[in-house]
Amino acid sequence: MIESDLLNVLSDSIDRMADGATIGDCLQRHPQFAAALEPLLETGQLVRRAQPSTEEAEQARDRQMPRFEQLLAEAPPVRRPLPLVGLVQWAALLVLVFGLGGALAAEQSLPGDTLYGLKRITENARVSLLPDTAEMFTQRRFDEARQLVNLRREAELALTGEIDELSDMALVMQGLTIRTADTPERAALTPGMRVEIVAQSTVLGELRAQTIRILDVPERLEQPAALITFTPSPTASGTPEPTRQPTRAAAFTPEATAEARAVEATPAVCAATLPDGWIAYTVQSGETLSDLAARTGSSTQALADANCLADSRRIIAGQMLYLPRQPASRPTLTATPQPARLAATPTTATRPDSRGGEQPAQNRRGTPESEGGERGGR
Amino acid sequence: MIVLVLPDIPAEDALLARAQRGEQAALREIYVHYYTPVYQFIRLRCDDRDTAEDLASEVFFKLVRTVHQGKAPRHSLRGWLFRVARHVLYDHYGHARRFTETVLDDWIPMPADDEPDAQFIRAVNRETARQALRQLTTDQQEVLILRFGQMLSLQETADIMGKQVNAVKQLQLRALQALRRVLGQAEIVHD
Repeated sequence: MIESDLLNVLSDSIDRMADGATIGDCLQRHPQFAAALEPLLETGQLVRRAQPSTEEAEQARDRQMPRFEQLLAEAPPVRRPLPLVGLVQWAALLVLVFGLGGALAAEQSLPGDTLYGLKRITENARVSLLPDTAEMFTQRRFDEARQLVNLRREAELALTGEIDELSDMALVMQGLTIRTADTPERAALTPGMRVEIVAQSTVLGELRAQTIRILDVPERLEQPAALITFTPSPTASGTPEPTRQPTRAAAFTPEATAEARAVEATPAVCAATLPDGWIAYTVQSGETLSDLAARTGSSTQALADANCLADSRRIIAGQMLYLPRQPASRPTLTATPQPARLAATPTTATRPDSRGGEQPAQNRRGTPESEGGERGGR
Repeated sequence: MIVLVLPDIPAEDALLARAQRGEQAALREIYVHYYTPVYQFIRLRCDDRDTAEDLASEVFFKLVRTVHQGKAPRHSLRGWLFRVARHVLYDHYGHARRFTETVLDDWIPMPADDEPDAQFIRAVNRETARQALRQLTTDQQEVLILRFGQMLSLQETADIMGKQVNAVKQLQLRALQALRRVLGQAEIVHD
């Protein structure tokens, strides 16, 4: 257990250093690990320093350029794609005009059926003729998935679309629920993202995701669309521009470093140094920025500024945030009155037959509504 | 089990598409912009510059050849380049565990300090660091070069190395610990 914490803290620190944080910053974030962390991060830093400079690399590149050019020159004549497309188009035309029996029979087939391959070939042929039909066929994949679920058949299928909803264990796309495993990578997904999912339908009528490829992210998440700059701008530290990829951090805490923002996107305004006494805090499930602001006697603006959060102010469970102080304990939620009852239950009044429902007689002191009552609340 | 694939980078994909269509300018652009990171990766794994140069070029020759064969990658160009770089290194050196002439025996062990502290490490010079790095296993070297040298994400590193993310997390810790131990055993030449 302890080592898994170190694994995560180490990985988190490496990510932060890639975004421009110093070793000192990382040690500050994880004071309890600082002693173990420091020599490790210094060792890693050493590897970075050991790299050949950009100059050396560029000299090598320029020296080797003639060989590369020569290979380019040996390119076979570019296969004009048109004749090939012509063939496919002819085939498509034949299929449409004569309605080949096989193609028609294939229309209703599902992934896993013998004729399914033919169905997809026919579709591709039609798309090459009429590109607008592509969207219709993308939708078909969802229909097929729904059928497979109803039939409780096992098959592998692929779906492309936007994530409508997201929960810990599943996501919803076009009304279809697809179960996902609870891996750390899952945290990178957000509603609105366009993804390509390869999933398995099961005999239980479930869809289980196997791979998820992110195709596009919604603009409201402040994230640069292009993550690689192709015009290497001179940087003082000599970092090779094309290799920087601030995505994973940028999705949730877009700390603006000069290099990371080389492409576009408005730089986030944030505190240059952390005010004294602020502590590092791990966001718990269900917490929001305004909730934490209230529980620390601060404002969402102040927290957003200090943590370089963008307008979206999204925070997720497990994320590290700086707060002015340890947040006061959470007020009991109205949905679950039991904890309040337990805290307030006088020694005599426990009713053995309470079926878990509310027992108003016992809630004299601990009614959930009295947030500020016993716990130091706001 | 989920494998989360990286977001496809539109500019990269566009370049790849142009290259596949036969646009030499696109291939040239790829070469010019990606040679540096590929070279840096390979250089740290080799003993000398000339070999590193040749091997780095090999990576791009392979790209050109796959384009000519119509089999170029359509996504994740950078990941592809690093994967090819790894293979090019294996092909060149055979499956030797370490691609280096310097062997641990050449190091004069220091009497104390198997676990050098931060200050000590900071003072190690580049050449020593490189030689120490090459004492590690291939996996350990690669993870350190990709994570610290190229500053790639956990996910991309995992993709390139064909490992699970959790395996990479463990590997990076072990690699750092191993490198630190090697440094502790070496006769360090300081800057």
